[in-house]
Amino acid sequence: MTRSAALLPIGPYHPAFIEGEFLRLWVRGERVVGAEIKLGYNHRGIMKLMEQRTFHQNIFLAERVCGICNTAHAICYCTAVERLLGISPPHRAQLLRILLAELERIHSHLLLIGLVADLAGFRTLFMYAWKIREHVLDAIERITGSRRHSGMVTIGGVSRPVPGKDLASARRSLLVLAKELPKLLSIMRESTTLKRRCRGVTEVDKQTARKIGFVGPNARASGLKLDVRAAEPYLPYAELDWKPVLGEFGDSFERLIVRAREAYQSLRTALICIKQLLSESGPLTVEYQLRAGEGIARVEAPRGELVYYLAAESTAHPSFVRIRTPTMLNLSAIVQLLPGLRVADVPIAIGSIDPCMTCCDRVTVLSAQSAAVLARIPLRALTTWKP
Amino acid sequence: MVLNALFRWAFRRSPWVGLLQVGGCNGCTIEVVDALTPRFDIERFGAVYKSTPRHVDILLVTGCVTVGSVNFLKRIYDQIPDPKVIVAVGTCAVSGGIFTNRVESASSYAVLGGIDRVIPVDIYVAGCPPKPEAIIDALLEAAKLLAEKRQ
Amino acid sequence: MKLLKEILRALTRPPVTTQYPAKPASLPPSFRGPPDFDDARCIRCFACSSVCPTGACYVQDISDGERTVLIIDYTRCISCGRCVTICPTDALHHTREYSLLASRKTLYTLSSTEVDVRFIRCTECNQPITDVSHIRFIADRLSENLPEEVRDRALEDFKRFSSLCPACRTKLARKLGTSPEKWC
Repeated sequence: MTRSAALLPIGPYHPAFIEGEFLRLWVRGERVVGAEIKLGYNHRGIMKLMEQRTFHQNIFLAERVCGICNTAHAICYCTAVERLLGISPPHRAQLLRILLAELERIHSHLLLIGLVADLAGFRTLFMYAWKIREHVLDAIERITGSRRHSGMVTIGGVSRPVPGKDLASARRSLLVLAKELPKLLSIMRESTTLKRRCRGVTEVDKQTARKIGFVGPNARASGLKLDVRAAEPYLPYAELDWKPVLGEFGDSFERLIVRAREAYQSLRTALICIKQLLSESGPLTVEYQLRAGEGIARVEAPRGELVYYLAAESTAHPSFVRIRTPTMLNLSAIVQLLPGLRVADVPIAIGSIDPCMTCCDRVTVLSAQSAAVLARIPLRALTTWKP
Repeated sequence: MVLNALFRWAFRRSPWVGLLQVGGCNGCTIEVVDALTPRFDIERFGAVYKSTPRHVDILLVTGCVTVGSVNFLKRIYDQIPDPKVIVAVGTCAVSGGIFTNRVESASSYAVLGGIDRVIPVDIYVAGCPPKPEAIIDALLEAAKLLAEKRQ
Repeated sequence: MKLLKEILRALTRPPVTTQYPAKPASLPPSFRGPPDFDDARCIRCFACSSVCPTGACYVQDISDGERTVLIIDYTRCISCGRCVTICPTDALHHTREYSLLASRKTLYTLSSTEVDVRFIRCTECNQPITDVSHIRFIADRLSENLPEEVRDRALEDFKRFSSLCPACRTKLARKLGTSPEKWC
């Protein structure tokens, strides 16, 4: 940046971010004057791999784009394929998808609240948030058979039936959580540690949030009504008496509060969902035939808007897949906000947008021989790109 | 002599644990952090989570080795003082998991495979992701191995 | 005051921490461990190995090609359950193993039970076609579902065609004049 600024490299392996990413900060004294994030340590070539595998195998690959929001990825992928095939899953399958997506949102938000509390030096809240998070994981494990990767969502519906006994047991775990969540919110609101560390850090108003391109809970914390579930309902959310949670201040603290409130709302939605699932029955999948075409789906993942685009030529493999994850947008937005902060606030600022680096590493071109990053190219240029 | 033996006995289950993600999907990483939190709490065995590799006895590595992360995995391995125990957590770290295939041509171009392609691994924990219970098992096993290596 | 209440409440409650190595882990009834074969039910159709997203489920020659087995490699298996859903005879089930540990020396033990595969070879060119029990399963299904009047003839045809590999089958079909190309 400027000559007098010192370069402060953070990463690629750093305790503040468990995942591999390389943050370069130019600092003058305690103030940050410039910032740059280098990604690509996690690049696994998923989009190319998807073009080599069959539609069904890709569901599990889509799940493993991100271990935290895997169901959102699976739902988004399957919705894109379903739009390509021109089918729509049965109602019971859609309800089950909502249930899984909302449970995942609760666990993802609680996870982030814990991590930011840890970054702010409030370990008790970290432990508390992760303790109550176990109840959600219990519910997810009871319903899907695995704590993390559900493996339930499939093309045209849901792959396994869920017995009523499992749903009832999941409901019991969620009711325990329903008692704990308000307590978490009150601890967050009252604690001076968290408030002093997070209040006012990277404060963003509505217009700026729109301009720099925040999505998901980060945009909603600034009062921007950006929610795919409301704007383009891909699942029957309207039946479940649901509306987006909005914040007003738009600083790091508000982003956490919005997430806690959203977790509570998701819990309510999940409980209504379980009630409906217990009372009705029906098929879980529909029949379909592969055909050529293209499909695009937008889904509200825990971190924001997730987009899958795919095209197929009536073979068993998609011929073209593109994924845009929410963290890509959030991260590029937060980098613009870093200059002007103190160095100590940088982990909180980055942590508060809920970064998920494994989601991000998409369009980085690596040289296989020297392990060097050759180019970071825009999506549009990819079709004509030559090394 | 006696003091030494006493020390060894006291430290036999108190390794310092590090966590490194080199690729993969975050699932196993979160499960390892889960093992630190109240429900599973590995600190009851005396294991303490440390974030710098220079303090670490046991390194839990999650995720497959990508082309981008080979170099920093090697560097972090060199930074850990001897004796050290490396645990590969999760199917990706064991074999490359879903990002690779048994047939080499069906693997991803950016993934080398399991971490044993790059650094020697002592204990493998398969599972996608392994339950925190499995991670606790692996940690106890690693502590035993560490005590053997120290002698 | 609030803190005091919290402390008192914490004293009366049981600890949240599991007693894990001392007590067994709590697994839900729907727990998805890596899948295992039921040898008696398996018809060796290899549907599992063709849908597996990681190539964990595969057919391999062992002991110098003396035996051919169908096996699931747990170091690759991601317990996605796709093979369990696809299996036509429910021969696969999820195990309840959650702690799959191995050292470098014992890594090969992380796999399912082996299912022996006895390939039928093409009577013309000696190429392996598929397993005996798979052919038997198809024949059984045919004789169950075909109408009485064509059953014997169809089964005879099936016997003749099923002992040939796909390439030789096409040749025979051409010779007998049953090839679809004739009608185009």
